[in-house]
This record gives sequence, structure tokens and C-alpha cells, in this order.
Amino acid sequence: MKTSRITCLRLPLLVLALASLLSGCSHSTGGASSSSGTVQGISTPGNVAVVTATNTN
Amino acid sequence: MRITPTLSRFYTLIFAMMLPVATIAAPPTTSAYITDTQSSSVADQTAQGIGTVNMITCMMAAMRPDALVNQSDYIALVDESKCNASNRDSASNSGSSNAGSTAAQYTVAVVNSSRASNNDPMIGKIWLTEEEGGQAKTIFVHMAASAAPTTANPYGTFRVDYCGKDIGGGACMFNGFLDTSNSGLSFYDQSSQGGNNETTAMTLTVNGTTSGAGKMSIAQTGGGSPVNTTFTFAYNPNYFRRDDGVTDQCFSRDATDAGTGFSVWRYGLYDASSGDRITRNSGFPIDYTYAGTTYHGYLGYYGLWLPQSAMSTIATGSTVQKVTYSNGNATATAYTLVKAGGKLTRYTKGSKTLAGIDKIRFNFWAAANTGPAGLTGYAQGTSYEAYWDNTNLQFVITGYQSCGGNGCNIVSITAVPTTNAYWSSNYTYGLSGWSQALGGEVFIDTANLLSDGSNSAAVVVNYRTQDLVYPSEYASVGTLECITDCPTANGIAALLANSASTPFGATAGNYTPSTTLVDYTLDVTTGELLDTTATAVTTASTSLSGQYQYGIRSGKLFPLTQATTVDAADGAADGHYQAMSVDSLTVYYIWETGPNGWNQFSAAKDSGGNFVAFDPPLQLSFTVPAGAAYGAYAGQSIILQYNGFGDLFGIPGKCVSPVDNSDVSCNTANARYVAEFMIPFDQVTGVVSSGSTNYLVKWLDREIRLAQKPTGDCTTAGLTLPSGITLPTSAGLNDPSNAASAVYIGTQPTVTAAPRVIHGQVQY
Repeated sequence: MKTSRITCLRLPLLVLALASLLSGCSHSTGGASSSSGTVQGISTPGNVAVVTATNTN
Repeated sequence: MRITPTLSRFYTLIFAMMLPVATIAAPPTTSAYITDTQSSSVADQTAQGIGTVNMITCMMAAMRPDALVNQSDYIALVDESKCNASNRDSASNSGSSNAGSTAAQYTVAVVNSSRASNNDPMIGKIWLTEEEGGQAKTIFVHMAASAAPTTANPYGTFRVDYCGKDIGGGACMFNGFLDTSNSGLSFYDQSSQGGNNETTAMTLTVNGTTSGAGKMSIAQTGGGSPVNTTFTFAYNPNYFRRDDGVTDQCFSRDATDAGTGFSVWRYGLYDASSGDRITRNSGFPIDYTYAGTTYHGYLGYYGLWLPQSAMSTIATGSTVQKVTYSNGNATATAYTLVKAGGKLTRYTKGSKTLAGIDKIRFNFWAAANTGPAGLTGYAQGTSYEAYWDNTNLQFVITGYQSCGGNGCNIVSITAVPTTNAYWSSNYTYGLSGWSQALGGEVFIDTANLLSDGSNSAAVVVNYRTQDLVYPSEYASVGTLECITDCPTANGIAALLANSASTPFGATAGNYTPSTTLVDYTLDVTTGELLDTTATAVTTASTSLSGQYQYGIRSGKLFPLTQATTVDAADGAADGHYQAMSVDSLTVYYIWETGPNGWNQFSAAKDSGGNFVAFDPPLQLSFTVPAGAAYGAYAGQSIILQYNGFGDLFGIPGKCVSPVDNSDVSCNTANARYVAEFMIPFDQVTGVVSSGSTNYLVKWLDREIRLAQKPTGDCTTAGLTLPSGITLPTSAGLNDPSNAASAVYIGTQPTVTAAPRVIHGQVQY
């Protein structure tokens, strides 16, 4: 599996790992983040996917 | 005074207003419960080709370059277990009961985030360090972002280039880029390791969020016949169509479709009144210095994590610095580490009834010589999956555990109803098992089950809450005894030498009455469990495999002072000890050892010699709402565990096909293991409790599995698969580790300050 090369090489034998983002398209993190100074950062997607669902609310 | 009827009503009203209000006020609209963002994401088969890039984007997001822009270089610890989708939904999770593996696996990243002005892109430079078998690698990442993701532009506008290579140089072992904008995305990745080569290319062209089309190609060579897989896909406002070269699939994009699947990978837990996040004292970051190098790690309830090269040098007596944050600064306090090769967990009894676990699945170890009627292929010693059906008052067997080199999974079978007489006559000392929905170990008093099952509301089911035993408590535990599955140092050595199939010697699977007990002593100084040869029952071998790949766990241990109680629990104090009798005790213990941090005990002592204790997981009850979406669990009470914000787990799982999202047996090729239902974001039905305290639950990261439809639906809707799509090529690759590249990020800076970010949480 490709992802194992990134983590890599340390295949953590995780069994019940819950959390975070999965394959899919995160789309609720829009907008610039607050930051010190006048320049604000830009949040990045936690993942990408080829399609989104509709009527998710 | 004469009270008129009108005045009487007035007084009644006033009196009523003075009564305490029984309902709990809704959390304020400004509370975290209301304001914490939720993220939904579609899980689709095409994700297999973009696993690498999703791993990187997930890890990048957890480094919070957006929050620390223009603030120089900093260190971020990223929990890669939370970004590794392929491990998270592995079907082998269906056959395991090792909750300790929720332990974090941190990767150290050095990050530099900058932006010249609010009109310029944000530039992220990231150096990720990986270690395996003493070999270190660095992943160089350059990221340029000019627009954040929004509902209308779900990818944002950004480009990431990456290269992973051995420290010391050489060619990129993997090299790729992802380029996204509101017109779609382009992805290319090529990797070469150990004689295996893989190239993935994808193009997606979108028209807003309403329609789009694309193609993905995955080519693998080495290690056998070349494998080429090509996906083409397209979507319109209503449907998503995907062809993997074998089958053409059509799905509804409508999340309200009854066939849509939801599973949540991260929940938040909140105070029911204030809406504040519930946090747990589950660990803290540490610094450890060895041979002039300072390593950043984490010490918590599930043990110690440090980079591998540091882990082998740290031992009991080593000094670690606890890093704390206040007033925007990090300060360090010295502690002394105590590290043992295994850990002792205490299991304390809680009770339900058989009727109270209606339809809740559990696994049990088949101790009986013969199986129930109707169950073909019964094998003593196998672990079976079953549930109690309180409508028909009978146990039903639904599957069995199959173990291989990649772990264990549950193979589904056609449900086999059984007679109650089978259980009461074959499991006269009760049925021991394990259930995710009951928080772990369970014991069912089948001996007292009537043949018609009519007393199910009186048959006791014990479950166990667990917590870590610190060496400072060992003296009060005393000598421990074991009846079955009793590991010894010699037994472990035999297992590792392949001269035995278990580390338990003659006690392996011994469920016949025993006249002897296996003795252990606890070493308060080293924290180890010692066998009768005074040798520690430990191993850190990474060659454990099969059912021991997650470590070795002992049978149930009990104090010598409880031996007479265990002896008498079967009705005869005759010096014959039954393994099942240990379940009668309020408390028993299990020793665990293995190569992972969460198989071992690690804790810090302060200058006064006192252990710094961490909170064990908080056990919570959840009443599953009514409704078809909750399947057989609707209306049942299950037990969940909460490790800390974002880590609420215990919802039973199931396996689904990545091809069409249908439910499948977990031994199906490429099956994904996902939570069977989701806790709704609702102040009435999305509530869990611990004793009399209620908490609110909110899902934060949720996967959506689109509902499969007949292919004709897509055709009728005019949705066709694209042709003639051009894929990106290696010509688009950049190397952020190459000084000649436009995206060169330079050599990794040296940062001595404590980590500023721990998996998405900015510390200071």
C-alpha cells in the first residue's frame, strides 16, 4: 500500500486508530486563520477526493 | 386574608416559578460544542490511488502552518496514526481486541510557514523525519497555498511538491505533486523502493461542485506481474459514476439517500451545560537528551513515544524533561523515567444482564468439545462471534475469527441460532469473551440460563473497566497467580525460537481444572512481572506475528489472597482451580508485553519519587437511538471509551466493500472496517453518560459512503464516463530537496525549542 511508504516504513500496527481525516474531501475548514501580525495564514485541506456528497446538512 | 381564585392562580404561578428547573439549558451559541467545525468526506475506491497525498495533506493540516505563519521555524509532532487511512480501516481491525494500539505514533516535523502579504500565497516548507529499523529518512515538502478550501471550492487553491529520501542523500524514493484549484486537480506520484515501482497519475476537471470528470492510472511493477489499474469517473449534481476497468458503478451523491453510509473517525465530547470541550490528563510532551542530541517525545497513559533511535537508549533512571506551556512560553521540569518491558492492567467488574445486551455482538473462545447444532466446521479453540437475541431468547452465532500473517479478521457466516441448553451444559462455568460495545472483556453466566431463556433479565453479564497499575501499587497487589495462558520467560523464548506455538507452555488454552497455579511476583523497583525463576516476563522482539503481532497478553491473573475464593467459585473448595472462576472476582489483572510503547510501562517520577499519573480512558454509556440507521443496535445501551478530545471509540464495526460500499464479510479482499453507525449531533439523542453526568457528543470528521444505484440510473441521467483525458506526467515533478529546483526548501533547520504544535493543537 502506498501510504505505508510515507509513514513509512514504520507500519504502526494500529488496530483501533480512530480519528482525523479519511479519504474524502474536507470542505468545512474554509477561510483564513487568525494569526499574529497582520498577515493571516491559509488553511489547507486535510485530504482530497474526487467527489463530494450533496445535502450533507 | 381571603385568597381569590385569581390570586390563587397567581400564587401558584409564582410558586411554580420558584421550583427548580429540571431541564438542562442548551450550551451557549458561542461554546465549542456549537462552534467546533465538522468535516464530511466521501470515501471512494479511487482513494486507494491518492492515499499518499491524503497522508501528506492530513499531516500538513495537523502541523498548522496557517496558525503560525511568519513565526520562524518550529517543531510539530504529528500523530501519523490519525492520518494513515489504510491502517485505520484495515479489515484486520475486526479481529483484534487491542485497545492499547490507540497510542499515538508521532512523526517529528520542522515547519516554516511564511507569507509576504495577505495577497501573496502562503509558503510552507516542511522537513518530516521518519525512522525504521535505525534507518532515517526525510520527506521534503514544499507547499504553496493561495486559497483555503470552501464549500464552493472544496480543494482550495494550493500546490504541494514532495520528495522522500534517505538522510544523507541519494535519489527521491518517492516524488510527487498535487496541484489543486477551483477547476480541479492534478496529481502525480512515482515511487521506487525495494525493487517495487509504482506510478500514479490523476486528473480531475470540475465545474464548481456540481459536475466533474476525471481519470486515474496506477501502474505497479516489480514483485510479480505488472499491475495496471485505470479508473475513470464522472459526476453530475445527482450521481457519481466510476469504472475501475472491471465494473461500472453508479452512486447517488445525495447524503439523505437511505443507502448512504456514515462512519465517524473523530468525535468531540462536551460539557452538557457549558458546551466546553472535555479534556483528559492523558499525557504530555517530553524532551530527552542523549549523546548531545535532544529528542522530542510524548509520555502518556498508553506509554512512551520517542523516535526509534532514542527509544533504544532510554531506560529506567533516564532523565526526561516535561514540557509545559504558560504565558506563551514553554518551560521544562526534570523527571526520572521508569520503564518496564510490560505493563499490568487492572480489570474491575461492572454488571449488566443478558437481556440488557440484546443484539450486542461479542467474541468468545470456544472451549467446548462440541459445537452447537447447526454450526458446521466447529473447531474447539476458535474464537466465534455471537449475540444474544432477546426477542427469540437465544444465542446466535454470526461469524468466526480467522488469523493470518496480516492479523485476524471476522469471517461472517449465515446466522446460526442455538439452543440455551447447549450453553448451560457446555459452559457450566460461564462464557468468557470480548465485546467492543461492552468496553472489552465480558463474562456471561450461562450456567444459570434456563432452557427457554425466560430468565434473560436475571442472567448476569459482567464487563470490565480497565486501568493501568503503577509499580507504586504493586505491594498492595501482592503475589499473582495464573491458571491458563500463563506466559513465562522460557515460554516466550520458545515462541521466539519457533520451538513453541505459544508463550504459555503447558498452560496454553488449559480450561480443565488445574491443581496447580503459576506464581508471579511483581518487582516494585523495575515494574516487571517476574516468573518463578525471578526472570522478567517480557519481550521487545519485533518478530512476534500472527495472534501475537500486537504483543503477548497473559490469561487472567489474581492475587494469591484470592486463591481460596477462586477455588470455591465452582462450588467446591477442593484445590481444583477453574479458569472461568477468575471471572467471579471483582478485580483481576492481565500482563502485557511486546515491542511497542503501548505494550510496555513508562512513567515519570517527580523529584519526590512520586509517579505522575495519567487519566485512564473514561467509560461512557450511550443509548443508541431508534431508527433503521442504527440497525440491530437501535435502542441498545453500549459502552464507549474516551481517551481525550477527538478520541471517543467503542462503536461496533463492520466491513464494507470499497468497490460498491455494500456490507461484506471482513475476509473479503480489500474490505474496509468502519464504525457501524454514527452518534448524531443532537442534544437529546447524541448524549453519553458516566454515572449521573451527561456529556454531549459532536462528530467532527465523518466519512460518507455514497449509496450504490443501478448503472442505468447514471445512464438515464445522461452521466457518461469521460474519454480522452490527459494525465499529468513526470515532466511536472519538482524536487524540494534539490538546490536547483524552483521549490527548493533548503537544508533542515535546527530547532531547539519545544514542539509548538501537537497534532493540530497549537501549544504556545
